[in-house]
Amino acid sequence: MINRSLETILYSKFQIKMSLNLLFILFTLFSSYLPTFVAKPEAAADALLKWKTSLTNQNNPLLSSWSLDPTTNLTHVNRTTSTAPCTWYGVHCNDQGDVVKLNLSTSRLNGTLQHFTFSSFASLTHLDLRLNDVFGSIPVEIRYLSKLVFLDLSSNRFSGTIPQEIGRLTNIETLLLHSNNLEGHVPVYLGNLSKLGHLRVDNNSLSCSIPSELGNLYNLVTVNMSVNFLTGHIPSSLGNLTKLSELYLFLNNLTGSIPPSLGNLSSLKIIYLYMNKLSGRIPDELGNMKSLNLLLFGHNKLTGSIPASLGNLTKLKILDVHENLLSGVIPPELGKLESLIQLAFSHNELSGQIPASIGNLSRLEQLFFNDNQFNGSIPKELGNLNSLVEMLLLLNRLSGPIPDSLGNLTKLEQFALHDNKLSGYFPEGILNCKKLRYLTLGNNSLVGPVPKSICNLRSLETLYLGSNQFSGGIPQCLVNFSHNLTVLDLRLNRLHGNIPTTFLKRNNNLKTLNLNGNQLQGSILGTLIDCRKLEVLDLGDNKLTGGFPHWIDTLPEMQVLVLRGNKLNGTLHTSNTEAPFPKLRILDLSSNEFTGLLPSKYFKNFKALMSVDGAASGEFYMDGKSMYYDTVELGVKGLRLHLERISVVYNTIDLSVNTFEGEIPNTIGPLRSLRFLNLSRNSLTGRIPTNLTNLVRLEHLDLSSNKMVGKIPAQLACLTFLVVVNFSQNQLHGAIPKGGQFNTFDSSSFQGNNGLCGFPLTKNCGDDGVSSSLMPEEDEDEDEDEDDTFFNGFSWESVAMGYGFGMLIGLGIGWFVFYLGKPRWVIRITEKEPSQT
Amino acid sequence: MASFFSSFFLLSILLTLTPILCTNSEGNALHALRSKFSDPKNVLQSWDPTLVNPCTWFHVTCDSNSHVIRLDLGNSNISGALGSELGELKHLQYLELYGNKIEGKIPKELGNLKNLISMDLYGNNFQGEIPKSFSKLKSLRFLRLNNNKLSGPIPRELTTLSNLKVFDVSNNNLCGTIPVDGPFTSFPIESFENNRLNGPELQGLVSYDFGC
Repeated sequence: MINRSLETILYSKFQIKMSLNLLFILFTLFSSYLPTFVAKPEAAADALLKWKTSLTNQNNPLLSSWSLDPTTNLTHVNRTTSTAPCTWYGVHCNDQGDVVKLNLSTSRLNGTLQHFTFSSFASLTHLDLRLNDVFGSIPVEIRYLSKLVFLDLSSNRFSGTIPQEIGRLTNIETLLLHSNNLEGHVPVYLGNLSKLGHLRVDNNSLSCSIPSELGNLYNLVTVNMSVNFLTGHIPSSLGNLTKLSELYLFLNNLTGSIPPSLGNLSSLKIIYLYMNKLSGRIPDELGNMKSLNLLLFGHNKLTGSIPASLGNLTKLKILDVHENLLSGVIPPELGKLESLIQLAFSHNELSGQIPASIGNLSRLEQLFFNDNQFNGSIPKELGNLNSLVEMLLLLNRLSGPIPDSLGNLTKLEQFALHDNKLSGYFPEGILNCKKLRYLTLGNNSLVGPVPKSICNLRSLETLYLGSNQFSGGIPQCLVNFSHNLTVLDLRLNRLHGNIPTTFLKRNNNLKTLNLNGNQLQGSILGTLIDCRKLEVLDLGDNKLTGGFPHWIDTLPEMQVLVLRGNKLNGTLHTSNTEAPFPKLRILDLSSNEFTGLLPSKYFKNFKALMSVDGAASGEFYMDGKSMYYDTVELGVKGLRLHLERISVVYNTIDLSVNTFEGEIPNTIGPLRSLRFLNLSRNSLTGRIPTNLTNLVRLEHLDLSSNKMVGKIPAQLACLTFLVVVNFSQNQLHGAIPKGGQFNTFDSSSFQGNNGLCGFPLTKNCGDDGVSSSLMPEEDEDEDEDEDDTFFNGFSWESVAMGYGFGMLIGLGIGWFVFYLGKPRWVIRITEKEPSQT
Repeated sequence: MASFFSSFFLLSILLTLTPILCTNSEGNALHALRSKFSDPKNVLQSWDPTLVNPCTWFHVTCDSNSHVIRLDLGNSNISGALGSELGELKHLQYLELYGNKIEGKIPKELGNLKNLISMDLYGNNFQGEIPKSFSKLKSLRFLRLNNNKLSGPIPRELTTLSNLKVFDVSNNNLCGTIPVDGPFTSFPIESFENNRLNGPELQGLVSYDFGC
């Protein structure tokens, strides 16, 4: 109330000032023979000038015409009037000279509306301030614009709430407040704007629920409230809006179910409800929205089955319900959706067979059925989808052979079938899909040879056939048929013979070569050096022989090198390169027959293992290659762990189970971001380098089953992240480090070293052992030796007896206090913390 | 407007391909724990809930059945509070959260960790009482709660923890008396220093929470 009256006072003062100005202007105007309809335009001119001066960039050249100096206005002669402000930039007047339109979109305005005198624009029908830098609140005085039909304040920096006075603009047809910083709720009073056709408040920070009063606005054609923080239900009253054509409510926090009444929206073409928290079923009634083109309900919590009635939406182009909790089967009626271009059911709990009728969707370009529980075989009718570009069926339970009919899909570029239960031979039919860029059949039960004819797919970028039962040799051409090939993954099959040698010499884009877990023989040939972009080379668990392929240490991008479990032998020669393996982060040479010294030169140059904050910025995983992620299996922390995606900081050196000898080189100390170090089961001698304590990220340190001597460096107890250590079966002696993580290791980590003592072993160290402790406050607790003086032989019982008397006296005092009040000396004693015993 | 929508539309397609949260309950419990922590040193960066299980996360260790048996986050500069979800890590043997800035109560649900061998919560800002539910931790050998702000008595139920070898509650604000039964016969006095404890319990003479 106070504000209101203050506002009126200010307003009246303002009018007085204005009328003085007017008098002056009238005088000047009359003196230059101008028409008689002057009062309103001049008030408007004055108001605009006043507003202009309030802008932070009042020298904006676009507003140079906004001046009462006649010389600046010579070029702007309006058809209907020639007076200010009708001739000014962005100002449009009617025949009477009233300002009816202000079109100031994209005019580099920078300032607020607080000095905009709305009352001077009573005839205004259009106000367009789109795409400027206007900030502050939307003034409540906007209510004076009672003739307003079109208001566009979008793409500015308006903040505060949407004033409820907007509800008084009863002539308004278009209200665009999107892309600002507005907060608070959507005013209920919008329900008064009976002529409103277009409402956009999207891309703000609005909260609270959508007012059900919007359902009164029968003229609404577009409603966009997306990208806010709206909560509550979608009002069922929206079903009244029979003219509604577009409804965008995505990216909010809307809950509850989709109102069945929306099925009444027979004019609706677009409904985007994705990325909310909507639950419940998709109402059958939605099948009545005969005009619907685009239905996007993804990323909600919708349950139940997909209604068969959706098959009536014959104009539907996109049906996207991915990432929900939908179950049941796909209704065959969806085969009637003849206009459909995209069908996205991924990440649900749909089951049953894929209906053959899906093959009728002749315009379908994208079919996303991945991450469901579809079973049965792939219907051969899918081969009729001759517009199809992407078909994602990965991560289901599809079985049986892959139909040859899919070879008709000549536009197909992405075909992902991995992680199913498909059987039979390699589907040669699909080799007709010459545009294929991405073919993943991995993790199925396919058998037989890998056909040479794959090499006809010249566009192929990713070929993932791993984790099947393919047998025979690897076709030579597979490593040189496509310049685009980045991923060749044939791991975990039954392939034998040699590794192909004829890699492309020029434009070789191969980044991943994963042949792990086959029965490949022969040695690793120098031609691999042509793969300059190679990041992942996994030839582990084969039957490869020969020496270490030291020439690959010059490959500049190599990050993961796994040669584990072969019969490679000899010493780890390094090439002559100055900086070998600059990006290497995972090196697994375990379980081979390597001999000689540890590769000190490599340790010295593993630059990627030296910076502690490896992934502090940037991606945490190695680059995904389309939908393919590099994986690797590593023996860490006593387990064989399968990394579904390789983190860029999963830094591992595993040289275990070889016959390396000599000492652990000091050059290992700078590898500060190393997480897992396994040198066990070699013939290493010498001491444990004290600079191992620099490896502050280390989680797993295994030096077991070597011939190491000396002490375990006490500072290793400072390695907070150390979780698994194994020093067993060496010739170490002295005290086991104390405190920190060493509190948590059990005796198996230290067994088989006759000279070690202290926790957790039962053997005591005596005096000299205690001195190496780092955290003395922890020590005595764990030591099993009971040579602490005080408490041995000083039992609780005897203490208790003493306390019996003391306590009786204490109780007496208590009684005293209770009955006689607190004597001052008791207060003094008790408030001084009594020490424990 | 058109480009705006098309970009969102693209996003929605891209998201078609993103993996969903793992169904592994232990991973979910750890992820819930992470959401309550402030982690300035980014030690929890690898805790990706979209992976099948948490076994490849740093500072998490599994057994061969992919059950979490260790959680090692000592001296990691973590702040925040623990929630009840930690109690879902039924196979946990080592809970090492020492030397952080974790505050709030010790959740009583930690008493559900029946396989726990070691619980190191020392050097944090834990408040409230030592949960009586710890008496269910029959495998517990090491319990270090020292250097916190714990108050209340030492629950007598802890005397039934026959495997307990190390018990340290020094530098807290505990009151009452020190238990003298079970494993408590062997703990050194240093384990109880700097509290408001009133010496060993005198069974039958005063209640154990005398002075609380």
